[in-house]
Amino acid sequence: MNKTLRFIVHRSSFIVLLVLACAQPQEPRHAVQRVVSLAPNVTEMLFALGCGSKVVGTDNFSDYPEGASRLPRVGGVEPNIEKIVSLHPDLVIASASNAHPNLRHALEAAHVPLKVITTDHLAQVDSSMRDLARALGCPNPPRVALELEQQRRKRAKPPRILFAVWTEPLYVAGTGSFVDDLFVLTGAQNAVSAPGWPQYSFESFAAHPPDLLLYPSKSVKREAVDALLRRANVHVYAVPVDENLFTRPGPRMPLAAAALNHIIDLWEMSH
Amino acid sequence: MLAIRGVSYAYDSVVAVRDLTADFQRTQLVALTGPNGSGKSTLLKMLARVLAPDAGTIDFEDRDLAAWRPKEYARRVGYLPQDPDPTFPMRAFDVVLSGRAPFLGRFEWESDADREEAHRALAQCDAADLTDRYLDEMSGGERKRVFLARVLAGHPKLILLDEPLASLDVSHVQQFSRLLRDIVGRTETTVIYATHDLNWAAAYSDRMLVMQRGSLALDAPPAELMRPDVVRDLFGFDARVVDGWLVPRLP
Amino acid sequence: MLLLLAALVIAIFVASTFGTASVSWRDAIAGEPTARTVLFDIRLPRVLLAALVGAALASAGVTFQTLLRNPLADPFILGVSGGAACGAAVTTALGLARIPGVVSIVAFLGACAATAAVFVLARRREYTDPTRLLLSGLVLNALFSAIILIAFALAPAGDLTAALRWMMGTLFGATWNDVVLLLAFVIVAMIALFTIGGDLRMLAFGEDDAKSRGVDTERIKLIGFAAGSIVTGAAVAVSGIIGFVGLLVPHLMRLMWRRDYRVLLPLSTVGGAILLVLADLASRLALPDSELPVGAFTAILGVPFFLSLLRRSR
Repeated sequence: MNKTLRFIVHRSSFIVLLVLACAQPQEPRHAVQRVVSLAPNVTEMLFALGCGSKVVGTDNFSDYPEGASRLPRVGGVEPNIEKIVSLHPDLVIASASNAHPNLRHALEAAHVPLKVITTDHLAQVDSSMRDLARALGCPNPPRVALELEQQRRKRAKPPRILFAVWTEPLYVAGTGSFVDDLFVLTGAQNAVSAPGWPQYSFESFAAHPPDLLLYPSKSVKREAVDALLRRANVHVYAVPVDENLFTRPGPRMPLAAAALNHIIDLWEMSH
Repeated sequence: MLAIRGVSYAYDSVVAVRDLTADFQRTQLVALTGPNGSGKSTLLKMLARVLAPDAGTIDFEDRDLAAWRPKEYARRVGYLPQDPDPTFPMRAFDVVLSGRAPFLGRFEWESDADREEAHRALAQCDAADLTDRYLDEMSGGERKRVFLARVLAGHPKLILLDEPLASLDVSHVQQFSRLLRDIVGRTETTVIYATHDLNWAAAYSDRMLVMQRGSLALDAPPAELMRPDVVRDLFGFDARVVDGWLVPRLP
Repeated sequence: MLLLLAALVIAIFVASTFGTASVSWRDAIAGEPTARTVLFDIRLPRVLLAALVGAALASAGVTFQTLLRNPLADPFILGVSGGAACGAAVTTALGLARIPGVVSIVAFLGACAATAAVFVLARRREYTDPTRLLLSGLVLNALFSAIILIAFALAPAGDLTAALRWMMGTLFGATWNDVVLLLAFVIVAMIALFTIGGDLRMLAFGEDDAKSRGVDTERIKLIGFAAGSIVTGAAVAVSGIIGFVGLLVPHLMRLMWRRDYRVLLPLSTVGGAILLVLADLASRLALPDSELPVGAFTAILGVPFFLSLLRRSR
């Protein structure tokens, strides 16, 4: 059952990629000077590529780097099209995973070109950045693939890691995501075998606890994690992580990988 | 005017009316009685073209019911179901005016003449004072009068009423029975109404039909029904007749 | 009626005048490009789409309430919303929601399939029983919720947010294409409903009564439910599930003018358009940069008005 589902999900995202690749809109011929970014990871990419000065507006959640948080905000999943237009961008960039189904039509009607990047997997971060650099003529080439490669580890006994985004109930990072890819890269494995961001079975958690539990430091409290472990009556090495680092498939992914390696190294030493 | 020939109707496997034959002339007040579930409502529904008989024929003015165009038939025959209730609050006048619907074309609205008819029908049922009242704030007796006016607004030749006397108190039963009598006399219509009240039916109607398990058990003038032996046979209870009024014998 | 139409025109004008970007009609007519784009390509189609969606939902609502003889009926009661949402959720779970337009098409197909299924389930001996219709709709909606929950549990996290916003109902990203498409559906449904209006109102007293008045009740029910469902399905396809309009507006109109279906249909249609145009305006302006779900504002604007009318009526 699980395998079939994973197959369907993988296969369909493949089709999506294919269709998106075919359906890419004609890119503006003149050099792009004014860009609105609709996702935090896109904003981070643009700044990392040295194109930060071209960004004239961002979504409400772009808070990194420093320069980005001072730019005009245009909204969340349903951005304010009127506001976008009033910023006079020659290109709007969105991330496929949180783009509203109506976004493309809406921007088309407003005569604003849209570029959608897909970063479902870790490998797509570098290629997306390369793509953006080409489209915008950015000075810095992306180094993400290179830096990620430096974080690749082979471990004799891959630790099983659970990334809990919420503890009550237990929501976790499943397979088929860049978080999963991060685990593989650093020589670990995901304790979860379900796709997406599933609710994890508490019984499985108690019966077969992971070696490591990661949780976002801002949205999940230490006490909540302790309560979870107490209730399951298990001892798990639980570590808070910077959620923005771990949940944004952008130029800081190598930092996430480095942090993860550090965490795993510490865990290995203590065992 | 109305000829019923060997009519039957069954709901799934339950037979409600079985091979029933009867004839009706103009200007008659006919009471249709019989125990619960004997098929009175089903018979009335067939006469109103709400249900089509499984077998047999019904002719109205020498034409089979199925051959009538629905609206044409509705202009001649008025039917009042048991306890009709408009889902949303409605003014008495609008209720009565809706009785003119069979006379309107597809996109046509009620004319002043239709309004005139509605006022006339309300007056005929002693309900002129209810014209602007809302149905949901009326007593049971007042509602019955309004709905009778709705039927009369179409000047029907044949009026079918399903238990119009149910849930009325004694004085309203008498008032309403008298009203029916009056209407038959004044408008030369035939009224067939279902009722459980043998005494009032006998006191006012020209003719009484008794149904039993879907068949006609008796079709006679009231005097023939109001006899202790007949009542025991048909309704299964002991009664004596005092001043033409059935009085049950209490143990 | 004329008063309501005038109110609609004013509402449309006001709603297209105000927005987060401050542009003026004068600039737009003079040809200033930003003003033209904002007013003619973004705001006007959105306001008009709001009016059409409101009209579609309210006309379906008043039709269903009359046909089912149930004051609690709304356009979504026969499974239209469940079918549409289910289509959208499954599309999202399969990752197909990222292809533009797919969600709308699948949602519309889902709505049609659900309505057809409800009808088949409720029909027995050539008779469509309103109670069975209601129950079938209820049960199918429950089944759809179950499928939606499963689809969501398996959907990629980011895609989920967008799908949820769609399901809450949104007029985000309205284009002229949407307006023209929905307008066609609304016109066809209106013609159908006006044609049967005189007969449909007779169902108020029950089906037996209507039949005895020469009304072909099965035909009226079929046309009424089909027209109402299709126009609801089309509205859901372009805007997701916007609640309260279809339930509230017919009651509002009934409280203000106690008339039968023939009058309530046009009144509700225009009333629904006004309410949604104003609710959309409020949802756009409530926060400086982002929008709140429009469905919340239909209730926030409509409910106090409704309650005050209810108190004043007898």
